[in-house]
Amino acid sequence: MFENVITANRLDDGTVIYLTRESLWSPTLADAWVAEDEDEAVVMMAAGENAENKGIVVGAYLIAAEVLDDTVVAVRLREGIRADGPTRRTDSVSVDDNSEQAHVPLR
Amino acid sequence: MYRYDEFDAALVTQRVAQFRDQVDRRMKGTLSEDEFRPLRLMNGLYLQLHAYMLRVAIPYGTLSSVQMRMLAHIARRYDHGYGHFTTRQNIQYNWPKLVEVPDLLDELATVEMHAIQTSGNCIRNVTSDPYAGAVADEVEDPRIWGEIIRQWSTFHPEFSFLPRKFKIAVTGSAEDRAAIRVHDIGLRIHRNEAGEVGFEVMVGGGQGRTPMIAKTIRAFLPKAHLLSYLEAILRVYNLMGRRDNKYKARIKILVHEMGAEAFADQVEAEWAEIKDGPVDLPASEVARIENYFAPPALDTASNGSADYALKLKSDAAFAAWVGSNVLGHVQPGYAIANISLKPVGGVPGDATAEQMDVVADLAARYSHDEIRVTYEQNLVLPHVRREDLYAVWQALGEAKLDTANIGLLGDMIVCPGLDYCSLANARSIPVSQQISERFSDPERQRKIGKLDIKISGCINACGHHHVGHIGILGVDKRGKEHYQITLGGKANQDAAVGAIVGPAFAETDIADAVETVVDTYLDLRADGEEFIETLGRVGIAPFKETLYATH
Ligand code: SF4
Repeated sequence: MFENVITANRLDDGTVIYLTRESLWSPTLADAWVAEDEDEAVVMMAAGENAENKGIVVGAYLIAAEVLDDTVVAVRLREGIRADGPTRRTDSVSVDDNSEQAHVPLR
Repeated sequence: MYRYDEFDAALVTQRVAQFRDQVDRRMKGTLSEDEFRPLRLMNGLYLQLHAYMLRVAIPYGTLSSVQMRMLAHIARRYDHGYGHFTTRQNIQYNWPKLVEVPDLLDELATVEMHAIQTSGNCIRNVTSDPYAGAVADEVEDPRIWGEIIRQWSTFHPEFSFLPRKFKIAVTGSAEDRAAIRVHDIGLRIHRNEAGEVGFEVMVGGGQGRTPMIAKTIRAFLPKAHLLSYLEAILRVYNLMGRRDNKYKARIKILVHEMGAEAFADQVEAEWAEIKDGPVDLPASEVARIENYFAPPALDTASNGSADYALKLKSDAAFAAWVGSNVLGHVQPGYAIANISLKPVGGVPGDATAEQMDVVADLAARYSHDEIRVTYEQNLVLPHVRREDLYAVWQALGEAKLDTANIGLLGDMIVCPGLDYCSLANARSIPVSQQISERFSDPERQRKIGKLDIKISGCINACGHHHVGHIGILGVDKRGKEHYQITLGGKANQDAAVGAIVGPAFAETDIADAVETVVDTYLDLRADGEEFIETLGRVGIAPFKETLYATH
């Protein structure tokens, strides 16, 4: 699978973001522009570099993603965690809370 | 506690102003990321998996209540309401916004804190015994020398661009609670045969991809010469350490390749040149710093109370907490109260802003305003009257800080792993949660006894897996998280690197594997034996057998 979505962090606050087809940046992977082929990925990467040079984003790079059930999901676990946030977190799950999120099985 | 003098205050304030200007220029585009990155790292600001991460230094792990309240305020105002206490006695915030960091640092500076030298190839925050100044087996309070080293190493121009980062730990006791033998330099304060106080100097310990136990290069160094001797070590390293290969750049590789004796000879030769120069502090300056660490005014008449004894008898949960979390104090009638940040199913080392405030209030009321952070990612109230322990425990309970597991299986060291860290291969936190839930019965943990489990999400070993009795290392096998087990590591005065027991386990099997190791120990242990003693007696073969019997 070739790498077909561009991600980066927003310069001012560090938020994980994805390049959209409108050449904007969204914090939601589902909004990402998914390149169909290598040529399109090259065009996207140029847009990423441009955004870096303009000081909008930092550290733009390509990741592998696929379209499943009409939404975009990352292929690698690392990028899945970047997209969804930490799988265990102190700010959203209290220790006592036996909610599903506290017990998500390891993928 | 040490208080900043005008030089410290001016240095930190100037640095924040510089960083504010640098952030401003970065946002305006006059600094590129390549230019800016080293500047932000010099101020402890990383870019991690999800966001920026700020590492704040807690020198030798000592905090006042006011400082802890500020850490809580920062968590609330600039972050997501919590912080993560690390294996270097520091705190990390996982979500600060770049544009707000200068304000954050300004606020930190008001309580004499900063994030300087928490990154980069310089001398990092000095770590020490979290029970310093409170334990009976201490020769001298190691924080005095921790502070002297901090002052000497802060912005030291010669040592700002070393071949690699450099970590120094100091202890004043025979029992090592600061893991000094896995530091670049470990210093142990002790008395020689003549009764004089000085340092055993150990060099070249470390973890990471090449774990090594430090070698003693000088059995006794008179105290007065510490800084010149450290300067000599750093000079030899700065000159001879490798800069061509990041993985061979730590001092441990230099000491290993040269041999400890040859390395020591070089240091002694360098030291001979500088030992009577201006580097060492005059006795009056040492005495001035010593004063800051004078013991608090403890109530020498306090001798526990009948009520305390009664509570111990009548309240089993309190007695269990005292049994595992409370230690004797040098002053009879007082105790050292450990606060576990390892609740069942929690994130090891994390504390919410509310919890930090509770700890700050308890320290102000019951512990002479002092808090310690341990490298095992817990907190300590070092000076609590025994008769106050019940009230402290109740208040901790209300804040869910009363887990009674210090030194037991649930008290795991765990690095942030792939949930937060951009270098990770695998997650650490969920593995620790699976294990803590598996062994959630406190009675079972007490029966198992002392057991250190340490988990790292990659070979950098921030989770100290090499020196865990049971070490767990996350590895990536064809895109899937796997976990390698090591057995027999130790971080104390008998420090040892654990041995890999066999092929890695899938994430679905790792908690079972740990349980198998524990059950094997329980089957084999002789009366009163701790896990590490049984392992020492029988070796790893029986554990291998039970772990891989069905594979
Ligand atoms: S051990 Fe690896 S995964 Fe864990 S915090 Fe350190 S660098 Fe990150």
